[in-house]
Amino acid sequence: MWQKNSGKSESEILQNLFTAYLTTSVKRRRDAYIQQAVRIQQMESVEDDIQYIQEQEAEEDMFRGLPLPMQLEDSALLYALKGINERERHVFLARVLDERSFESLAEEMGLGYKGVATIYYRAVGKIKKKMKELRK
Amino acid sequence: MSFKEILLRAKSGEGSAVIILLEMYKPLLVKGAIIGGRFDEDLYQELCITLIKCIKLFRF
Repeated sequence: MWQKNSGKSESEILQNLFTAYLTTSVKRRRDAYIQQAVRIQQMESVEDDIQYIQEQEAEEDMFRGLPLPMQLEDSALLYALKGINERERHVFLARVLDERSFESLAEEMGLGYKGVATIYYRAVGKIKKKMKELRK
Repeated sequence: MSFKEILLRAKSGEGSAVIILLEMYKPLLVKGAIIGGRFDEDLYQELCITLIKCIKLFRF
């Protein structure tokens, strides 16, 4: 085992010097390591932001890449969808996008099958009318 | 074997002497490798390298 260092003999003084030297060096290396870790973390968060922005841009580019009629139709549809009321929009989107049946929608909304069907067809009619309006 | 001897042998590149010093200063290195109450293995390794560098660079 190591004996206690009284710092008297030459070798013990040397050991104390070396320990001090090492302690300073270890402290500096530790500080540098922590700083580096902080910097990497900051860089990563910045990179995340950049990636997010790029994704957004890519989405816009994709939209711009679509043929013109499709873009037009999309905005016309959007305009029409804004024009109909909440209930009609819900039924229309549930039917078209989620492919839900009239029965399940009727159950959800507390209406009869016919009631939901009426709302749906009325919504379709309104959308058609609005889109025609826009095209003129 | 006195400390001076070990240090001189480690300086001349004797592996076993370096290992003795590494074992000797392990508590110091472990203490230095703790960040926020957690032991960081990467930092511990860096500090081991630091010790080996110190052995080479230390002058007396």
